[in-house]
Amino acid sequence: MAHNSYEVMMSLALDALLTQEEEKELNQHLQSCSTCAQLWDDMTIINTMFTASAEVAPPANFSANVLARVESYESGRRWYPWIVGVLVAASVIAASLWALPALFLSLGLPDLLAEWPVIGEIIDAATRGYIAIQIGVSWVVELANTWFSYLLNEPASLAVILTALVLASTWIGLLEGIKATRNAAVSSQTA
Amino acid sequence: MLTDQELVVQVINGDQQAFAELVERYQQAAYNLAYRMLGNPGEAEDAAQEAFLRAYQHIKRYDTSRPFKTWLLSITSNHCIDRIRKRRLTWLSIDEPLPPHPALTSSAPQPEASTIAEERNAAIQALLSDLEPDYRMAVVLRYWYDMSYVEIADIMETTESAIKSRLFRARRMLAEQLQTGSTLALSVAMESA
Repeated sequence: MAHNSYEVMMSLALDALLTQEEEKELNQHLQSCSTCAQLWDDMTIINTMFTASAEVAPPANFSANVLARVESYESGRRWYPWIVGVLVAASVIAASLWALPALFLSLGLPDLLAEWPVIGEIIDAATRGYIAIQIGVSWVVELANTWFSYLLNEPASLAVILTALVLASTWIGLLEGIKATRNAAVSSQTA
Repeated sequence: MLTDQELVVQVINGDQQAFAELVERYQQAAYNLAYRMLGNPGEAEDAAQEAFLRAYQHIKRYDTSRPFKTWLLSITSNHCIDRIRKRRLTWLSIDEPLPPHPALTSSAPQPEASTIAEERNAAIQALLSDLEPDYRMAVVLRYWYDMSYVEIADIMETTESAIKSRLFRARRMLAEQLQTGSTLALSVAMESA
């Protein structure tokens, strides 16, 4: 039988999984092979050592800590539907606030309600605010649009800006590289 | 006393106290497995707690025809192997001395006995830490849980012959470590054997 097979048999013998014949065969081999006999001795030492080793006990507060984690998980689960609900509600309200004035204006309601003194003033203020926001947004969009179309229509300007950016980043990279080399030299000297 | 399966049914019905009872029953089994695999009391505690939490979160997936302990140890085993693999990506320090376990250093009545237990434990952990995670797990389940090859294969989701091979290779590696004599294991092993 191959040498390796006896090694496998040794492991099985430690787990009491050999038949009587196999055990006898292994014992005969161990008497004639010093390499296997040495391995068997070492495996037996390991076996005794590990078998004698007891389970280690967890810290006293282990159980309480597990239950605290479970409770934390459960409370998260309890709050989850509420959080989702609030977020959905907030989104709906925000969308409505944004859309309502437009609807309001398109229906011509301000003219109808303006005759009511207090409501009329509130509507006036809201309308002015809404129009101001619209003007602000359109102004920003227009400015960005102008810049983009200018750059696209003037390839030379675009090239100049891109070249400047590349040069600036190369210069910064070079400075950082020099600084890192210096630091490495200083730290190797001190070490 | 309620069986594990009855407790699981109660947990599924929302009874956290039933889960507390399961934690009481198997905390040592889960913690010891994590400690033997990870070799560090703090990390073992966190890993075993995480294993319990995962068991709680997936309690509905538990197959009541299997022993609860086997299922829990299977979760702990997978989690520990994952941790070891992730740990290897960030740092590898098998040469670092392993911290002694507090349970072996704090409450032993005799200082000499405590020292021997502590040294033996450190030697065992040093030997285990050199094994591949899959081999280590097979050895731990065989020695500390007295499991059959079939039971180990069930936990590690592999075949009985794979376990036979892993145990044989692991034992040969451990024996070779004794031969090299590079660890504390040799002297302590000789004393304790």
